[in-house]
Amino acid sequence: MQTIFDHGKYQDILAVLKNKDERVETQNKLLKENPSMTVVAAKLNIPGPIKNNKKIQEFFVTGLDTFESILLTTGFNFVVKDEWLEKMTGPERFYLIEEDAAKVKSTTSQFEEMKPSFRLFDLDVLTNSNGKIQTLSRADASQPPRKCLICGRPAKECGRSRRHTVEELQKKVSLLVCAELSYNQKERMANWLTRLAQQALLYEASAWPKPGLVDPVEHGAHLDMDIFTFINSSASLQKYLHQAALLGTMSCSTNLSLIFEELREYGKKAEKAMFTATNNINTHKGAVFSLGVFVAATGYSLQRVKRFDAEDIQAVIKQMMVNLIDDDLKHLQAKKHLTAGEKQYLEYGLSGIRGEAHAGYPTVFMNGLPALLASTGSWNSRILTTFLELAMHIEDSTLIKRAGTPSIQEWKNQEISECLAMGGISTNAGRQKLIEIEKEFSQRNLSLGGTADLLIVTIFLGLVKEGLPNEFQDK
Amino acid sequence: MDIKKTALAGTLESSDIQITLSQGSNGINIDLDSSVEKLYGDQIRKVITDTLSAYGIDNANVKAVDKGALDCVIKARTMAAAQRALDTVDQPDWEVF
Repeated sequence: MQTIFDHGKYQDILAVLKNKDERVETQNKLLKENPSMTVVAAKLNIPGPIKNNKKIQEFFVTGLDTFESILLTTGFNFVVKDEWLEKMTGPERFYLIEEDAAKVKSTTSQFEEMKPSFRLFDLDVLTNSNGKIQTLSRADASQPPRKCLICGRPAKECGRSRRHTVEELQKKVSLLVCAELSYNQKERMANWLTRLAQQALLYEASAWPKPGLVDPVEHGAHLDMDIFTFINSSASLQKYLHQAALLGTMSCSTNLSLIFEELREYGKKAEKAMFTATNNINTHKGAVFSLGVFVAATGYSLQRVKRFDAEDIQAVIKQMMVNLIDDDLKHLQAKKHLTAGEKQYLEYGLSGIRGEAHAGYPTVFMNGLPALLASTGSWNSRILTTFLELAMHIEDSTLIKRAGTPSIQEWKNQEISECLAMGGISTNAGRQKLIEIEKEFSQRNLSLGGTADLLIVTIFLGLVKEGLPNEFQDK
Repeated sequence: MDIKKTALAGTLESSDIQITLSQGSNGINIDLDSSVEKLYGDQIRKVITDTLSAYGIDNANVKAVDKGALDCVIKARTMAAAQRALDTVDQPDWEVF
């Protein structure tokens, strides 16, 4: 059983009463200096002798982040005038808000009712009416009196009669606070994964020279787009990537193929957003699919195993993809408009990215990621080393589509092998060879779009593994 | 003992009680304002009267605005008010507490 009361200094009645006097003094001073403003005094109702510690403080601060975002979206301007985060009688914060007190009261009530754990917050709304300082009560906002945490009777009655033991109350408070702290951590994880996913998109686009792809120097193989198209496209995917990250980190379901179905719904909207941002150019359609899968699967795995475990992430992906081939490729005969990957499945029996995905992206886990993690030097050379490794091992449906034949793959592998034999990106000769390959790809209008998608997800995994914050790992 | 001056202790914060003591000549008169008056009015009056008696105060007018204070809070606030009224703030009588 988790408790938040394992640390902290015991507070006696006199300390608590002295603090009440200090609070009233602060409130009165604020209202006298700012008679036309409303004061909100925020604190927690924590029963028992321990009223503050690291966990309680974190709960207080992150809870008030939510309150402040309510103020922000309501259009109420505020300033924080004072703050007693470390005080052993409990953390407190004082806001000055430029709004009518009754309206402010409705936002504090909205906040307190938002989640069961926010019930532990006590936000007093005070106003200076012609020199007389008044506290708005719940009755002033036509609200029923607060109910007891344990039994639902009026809180004042249970408090007065000490109907419930301190232990019983602490247990309930611990439960509420721990649930909220764990939720906050998952939310931070989702935000972090979203940021890395966007970094991965931009890292991939920025590395040079990449044969058959857009980079800041060359885009001969894709005359309809340039690096800026990719920046626009990457920015347009933020919402989707955040949805994918939340889906993975928050879900408690073990039905991963259902999670994948939900992800594809977000993916459809993300494609539309991408096409709007790029004037109908397909920059990241494949990446929307694969990166979304990796972000969701990584979030799901991290929150369960509390460390970076590539095998576990791959296992999650495989479970997500369990119905992919059946759903997508077995009913193609009836479809009117086919994608490149779908046509190639019918014409050559190549399963392309769907086959790769269904198998749990073996090229990423067996070739791309080990190459990236073993690489050293600048991000540009690490990305290109990984790119060459992936390009050698992938069945790239974009390349086959542009060339019109699967045999193009032999030529691609030959060229890349030559570059690698020269020492790859880390030698001048290797780099020169890569620039030549890029030219030839441009001249023959060949693309490695499928490789780019795998490169993006590989970079994403590398960023996660190398940057995983301590708070997301079990030590 | 007689009250020398009107004195106030406590706040109107929740779980607190505000006690105002002033001179009186007809025993302890308590004017109580409490949301739990029906259930606990008698108990609150008793704690105030007992605490004042411990200081030897037999005549006083007491205004008490209760916001759900526990007995120990009522006692502490009454003590503080009594000491201020008797001008003995410098010598708190901890035995009473």
